[in-house]
This record gives sequence, structure tokens and C-alpha cells, in this order.
Amino acid sequence: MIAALRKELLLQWRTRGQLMAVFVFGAAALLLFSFAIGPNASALRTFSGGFLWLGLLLSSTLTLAESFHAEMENRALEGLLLLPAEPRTLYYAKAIANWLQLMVLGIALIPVMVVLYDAGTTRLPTLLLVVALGTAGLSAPGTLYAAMTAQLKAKQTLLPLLLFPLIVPALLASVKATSLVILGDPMGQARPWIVLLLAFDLIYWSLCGLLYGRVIED
Amino acid sequence: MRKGYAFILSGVALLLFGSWTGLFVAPPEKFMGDVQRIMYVHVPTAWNWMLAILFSFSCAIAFLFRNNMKWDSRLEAGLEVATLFGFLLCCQGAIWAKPTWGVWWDWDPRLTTTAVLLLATLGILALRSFVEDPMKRAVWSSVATIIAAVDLPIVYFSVKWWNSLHQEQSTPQTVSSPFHLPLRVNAFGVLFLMIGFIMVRTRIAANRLERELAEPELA
Amino acid sequence: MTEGVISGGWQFVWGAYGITAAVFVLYGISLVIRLREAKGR
Repeated sequence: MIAALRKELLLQWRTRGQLMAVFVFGAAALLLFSFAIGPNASALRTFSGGFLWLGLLLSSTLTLAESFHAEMENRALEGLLLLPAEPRTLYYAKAIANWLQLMVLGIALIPVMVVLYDAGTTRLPTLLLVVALGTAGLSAPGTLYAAMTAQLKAKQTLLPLLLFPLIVPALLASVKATSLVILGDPMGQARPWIVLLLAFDLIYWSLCGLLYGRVIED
Repeated sequence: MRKGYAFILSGVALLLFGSWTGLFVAPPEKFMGDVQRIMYVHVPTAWNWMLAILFSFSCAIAFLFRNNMKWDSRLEAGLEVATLFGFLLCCQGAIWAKPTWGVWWDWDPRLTTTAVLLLATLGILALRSFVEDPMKRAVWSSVATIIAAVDLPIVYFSVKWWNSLHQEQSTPQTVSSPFHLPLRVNAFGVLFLMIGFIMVRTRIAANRLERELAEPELA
Repeated sequence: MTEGVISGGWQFVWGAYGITAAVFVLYGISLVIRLREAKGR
């Protein structure tokens, strides 16, 4: 498992230029969202949580699809199956790597959000927790579906089509929690949303791991 | 296919009787007046939609354990009927919402989770159309269906867990008795209709599968 | 939520029943057609 994870992280490190590009994409998305609202400072602040997560979601379709690019290029997917490692291990290695990547992206986009929408917060640890849990919720089903759609010709369209409906609950919880952290949370409502996020993460991480083996077999 | 058609016809008969009762015999409700009669098609559709999802989930599990393609044909039928019913459900709901809530749609937990599930099943049908290898198509649809079905309990309990605009679940406890008869009759009507639809649609899927598997493999 | 009584609104009722009937009938017809096609080949 550690070896598989190391391999994934090494791969990501080698292609870190792409992560930079995705970050620029994400930042550009956040900028465009602000144009949709216009120079209304309080509205921008109100929706900043939503924008952050929308930007992350869109960026994730790029990074998730990319994560199987190497396997597809060299038909390495079949090679991996021949290894003595269980598919489940490979799945978790990739899902964790994707998760870390999305977390880095999310954390990098926070300052962009703060600057563009005047959306600062004093509760930074909580915000980081939400980003961590939310990106985990994106990564688990995202990695599974990326494995599926990478093998198809219509991969660009299918991944978002399949992924988006399923992560709506996790996304909703992340947006709510983020907004509460940014806008103030007098009644302590962020916690139930965070708990919900955690529940989603637990369910999806176990379920997707269980099913992964069937998805990549030939 | 005679059984399938029999189900469909009996379903239609039940629906005609139930709807007639619901429209002309049952009394108007205290607050919603006659608009409430939409319940006699909306709630049966909702119940059977959820059953269709449950059925699809079962077929997915059965396929992954048995690897028998007949479960894939049933899955395809279940998903298509579920998507159809889900779409119908949202239409009926919107028509009911306009006079009662003042809006066609709202992003409350029940409606949001329902829309999620509808889009999810639609997405799986789209996935199926892009995968040419029947075995792969079957495995992937089953996996995707299992993941999508996680949303079903959330849809069902959403009105209980959260403060929802939508009414609570309809049970004999929450619905008063003059309304029971048309509701039950229509519920069975839609159920029989659904069973008939699934049976016929399964046959169509099985036929196509037969043809696909019989054709020589093109490299 | 709603205060008082909603009067009338039959057009909504007919709308809902109508679309239900239409969807079921059209889907049923589509099934019959597709079944014939599947068998005919």
C-alpha cells in the first residue's frame, strides 16, 4: 500500500506543472464567478463558499481524469492487475493521492477566494477541515468513475455527467459549512454539516473501494 | 409477453378506477382544496419510483454476484423505468407546487435529493450507451447503480431528518381515511403498470443482448 | 406556508393527471414498438 501510494505521489510530483495549470484554471473560474455577480461586495461574500467549491469541482474533473492518463497511455492498467497487489489497495492509493492533490488545490484557492470576495475568516482550522473532508468526498467516487471513463472514448463528457449528481450532497454540505465559517456561525450550525460530510466520506470511501476491483477487471 | 401485457392492462384498469374515485368521489382537502387530488397520482408515482430504484439496486447486486446477463437486462429495464417515473414525479410535483408553494421548484432536501437520484440514473443510462462491450457495460452499470442507490434512503428520510418544505411521508397515520381508497388503488395500479413495463423492457434488452453476443467479435 | 383554503385549481389537477397519462401511454407505445423491432429482426 505504501509502495503504491509512493508511486502515485511520485507521478503527481513529476507532473506538478499540470497541477499549476489546474490551479490557474480554478482561479480563473473564481474570477469568472465574480463577474456573474458584479461588484456587489456583500453578495460576493455571501456566495464565496459556493464559488470556492464550484471552482474546486470543475478543477477536479481535470485532475481526476488526468490521474488515469498515465495508466491509459501505456496500457499500464492491465500491468497493474498482474501485480500481486489487490485492486483495492491500488484504488485507495490513487484515491488518497487524488485527495491530497485536491486538498492542495483547495488550500491554494482559499487566498484567491479571500482576495476576490473579501471572504476572510478567523476560523482557519475549521475551514481547512471542511476543505479536507469535502475534497475527500470528491476524490473517492471521482477516482472510481475516472477509472471507468478513462477507458472510454467519451471520457470528457461522461466523468462530470456521472460524478456530479452523486457528489451533490457532499458538495452541499461543504458549501454550507464553508459559508458558515466565512459569514459567521452564531448558532454553531457548521458542526452538523461537517458530521454529514464525514458520514458521506466514510460511506463512499468504503463502498467505492469495495467496487473498484470489478471496474478495472477486463 | 402475455404476462407483461396482463400486468400493464390491469394496471391501467386500476388506475382508471382509482383516478375516477380520486377525482370525483373523494372529498376536497381542508386546506389545499381540489388541488390536493394530485396526490392520487403523485404519491403512487413516488412510491413506485423508489421501488424501481430498489429493484435496480437488487439487480445490480445480483449481477455482480452471479455474473448472469439476465440481471443486466433487468437492470437496464429498472433504470429506464426509474428514470421515467422520476421525471414524471418531478413534473407532477412541480404542477402541485405552483398553486400550493407558489413556485414550480425549490431546493429543499426532498426535491434536491430526488433530482440527484434522477440525474444519477439518467447518467447511468448515458454511460450504457457509450460502452460497447456488453460485459463491461453490465459491470459498470451495476457499480454505478449501487453507488447511486445510496441516495435512496436519503430521499426517503429527508422529510424526517431535515426541515423540508415537502410534506411528511404518506402513511395511513398521516393521511385521513376518505383518501385511502383512491390512493391505494392507484398505488397498485402504478405498481402493476411498472411491473408490466419492466417485464416488456427486460425482454427488449435481452433480445438486444442476444444479438450483440451472437455477432462475431470485431477486433 | 399556506394560509387559508385554495379554491379551484382544477387546471393543475388536470395537468398533473394529463401528463401522467400521457407519459404512461407514450412509454407503453414505445415499448410495443421497440419489442416488435427487437423480435422482427
